[in-house]
Amino acid sequence: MKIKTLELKNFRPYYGDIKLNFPVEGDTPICLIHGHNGYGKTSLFYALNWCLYGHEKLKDAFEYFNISAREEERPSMSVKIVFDDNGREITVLRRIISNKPINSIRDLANAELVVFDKGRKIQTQDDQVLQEFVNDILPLEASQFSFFDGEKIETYSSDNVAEETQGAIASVLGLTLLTKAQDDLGKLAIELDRDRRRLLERAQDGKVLADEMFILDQDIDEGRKQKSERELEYKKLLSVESSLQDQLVSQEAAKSILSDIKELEEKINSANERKVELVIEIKEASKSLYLDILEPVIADQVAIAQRSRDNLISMHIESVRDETIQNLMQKIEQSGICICGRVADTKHINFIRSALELSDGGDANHLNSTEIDQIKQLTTQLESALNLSRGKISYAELAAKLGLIENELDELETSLAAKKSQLGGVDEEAVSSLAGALEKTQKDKRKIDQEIGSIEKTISDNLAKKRKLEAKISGISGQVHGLDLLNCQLQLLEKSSEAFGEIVRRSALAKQGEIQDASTGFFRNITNKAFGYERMMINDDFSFGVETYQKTRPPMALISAGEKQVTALSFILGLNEFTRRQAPIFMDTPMGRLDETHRRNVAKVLFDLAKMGRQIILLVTDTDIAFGVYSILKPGVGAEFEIVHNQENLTSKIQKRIL
Amino acid sequence: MNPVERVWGGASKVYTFKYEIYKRLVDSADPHKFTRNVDAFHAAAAIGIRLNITANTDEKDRREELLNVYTIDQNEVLWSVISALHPDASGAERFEKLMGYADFGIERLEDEFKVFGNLQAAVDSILSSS
Repeated sequence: MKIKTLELKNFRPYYGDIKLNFPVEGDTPICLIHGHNGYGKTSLFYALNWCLYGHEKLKDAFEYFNISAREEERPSMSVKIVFDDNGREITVLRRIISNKPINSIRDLANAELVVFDKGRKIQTQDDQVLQEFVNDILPLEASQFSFFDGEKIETYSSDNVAEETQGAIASVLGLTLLTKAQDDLGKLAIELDRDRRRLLERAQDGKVLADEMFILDQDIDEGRKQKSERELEYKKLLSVESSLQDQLVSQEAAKSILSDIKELEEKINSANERKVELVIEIKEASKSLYLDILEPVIADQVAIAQRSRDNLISMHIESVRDETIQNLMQKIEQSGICICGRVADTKHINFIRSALELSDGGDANHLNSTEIDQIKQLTTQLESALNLSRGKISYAELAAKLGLIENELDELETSLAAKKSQLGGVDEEAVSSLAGALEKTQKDKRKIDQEIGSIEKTISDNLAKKRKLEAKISGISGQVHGLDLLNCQLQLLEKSSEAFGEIVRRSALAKQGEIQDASTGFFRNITNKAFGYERMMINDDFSFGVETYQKTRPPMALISAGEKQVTALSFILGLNEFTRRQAPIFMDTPMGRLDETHRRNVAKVLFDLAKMGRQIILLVTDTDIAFGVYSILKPGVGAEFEIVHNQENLTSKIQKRIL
Repeated sequence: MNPVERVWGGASKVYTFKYEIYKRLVDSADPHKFTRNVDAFHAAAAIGIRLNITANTDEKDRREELLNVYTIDQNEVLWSVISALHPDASGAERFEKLMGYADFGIERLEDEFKVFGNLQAAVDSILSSS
């Protein structure tokens, strides 16, 4: 089923007539209606709902009526929708026509509903018949899964909407008649009970019994109500407790990691302190690194210099000895007497010279003492340089130590980073605060559990009292005509009501798995945590949630608004798959609180639905279609409109955009 | 001329063609680099001396001032080694030799430093390949 046209007249900011033709054929069933905030997008959403289901309060219709139009002589407001249901044309028109200007709610005429089926007006004076016809096209309860406000849908995913979820499932399964019947039976039971009370009052002591029964029924109802409220609180606490326990388990594991981290940090500090000391030493040692390099050269040169010095010295000694002997020989020659007392003739002198291996004299090797001093000085300097190089701390040794410490630090820091990543930002304060929160939750849970026990006992006591009272009432029923029958009817009503409730619950339960699977399909396409969440959950009590791959189920209260919107949207789209008619999806500001990735994911899902022929009408702001959303939708877009707002008279018009 | 200048043939400044390399190899905060230019100069000269290779020192006007000559040899190690190696050279010739050794050494040192990331490994690599 698709919306072919939407016509508005004097509805909210739309003064005068507005007509939108939507694409119903071909493979471009997406329609975008662009508008800034406050221009009238949501008014289109209201118009659709008002046309199909009317208004709950007269005040709503008054608010819907365009302010300028209200002042006209014969003001009128209308919304007309033409549906195309596989070739069958259904027109729904709701309008208000007044004979005088509308200055207050009192001046407002009743709204009229007109319905055409295949071009023929459905003739009836009973608006209820027409409304039921419309409801059959798209039940009100189910319409919330076709027409919805993106900013508000996250309310579906709160923890206390089990009843709404069950109601929604029942409505798409067409079980609303049963739920309505159940309500009617309840109302009828109240009426019959009132009759029975009147009859009872006629019997002896009957009034007392009736009063007692009345009070008992009130107490039982009140008790059940209280029990249901406590059970809801208990359920919330259970889910909070479970989540806290999960977190605490991971935090407890974190405690040992924290201790490892502390130890590692201490080791790193100690290594860093050693490194600082070593760096000071190595910086000092770098001043004499050259001595390490030069040491072999110095050692060689020392050896060479020492040899040169020693040679020179021995040459010098030799030279001095020669000189002394030469002097002695000269004295012998001059005196002609040898030191041995003999005559020193030429033969004797030559003999002595030959024995002492002396030259003829005058050619002694005279060494410069400066040269000897220089070599001595150089040798000393080289020796002291060698001592200097050998006496100092080796740079190489310190560099090796530094290398070891740096390796140790690298390893420690790698271990620390690994431990920190395991920890995931948890600290001891968080652990203790979680433990405190868990203790409080468990205490509250125990308290509520005790209260539920006490309420149950009271209900059970009251039911026992009621049975006794029923017996007493049966005992006196013979005194009053019709009381027996009423008693039977009341019992029958109670049982029937219970049975209808059970049928709805079981039918919804039977479909629950399929809807859950369909929703999970959408959820996995939309969420950016596809590897974190396993599936969407519709629990046996129709509460709503998600399950992680670790099989944990975080309470909906603890997940982010964006994720809530994703889960709610997935549920709605999943549920939409089961509506009897493939209703169009009409979304107001569909992207709400979603981030870029989720927006694109939603766009892809909508585009896929469009490819399968589903009509999608989106009321969008610029930001809704930013981040690549527009280009994803574009191939499926068959029409685009733009809401143009006049700031002076606060009215809006809708123009078609040329594609 | 003071005694130090006299030893080195009257030179008062140490010059280099490799000033940029000194800038890269000297960082007082980095434990793997030299703290002062003079330490780098010493190590570079020692490498040149050890390998007995000097860099080309032509085009002297392209050189940049690196150090004051007073700072380079307070314990006279370099002077004694150069004197021993070049006994017949004049002070000025020895000084030129020293600067040539250093320019060769600093370039080699940087080449190896780039590979090993620390001075000791760089020196070991240079000396082991000689």
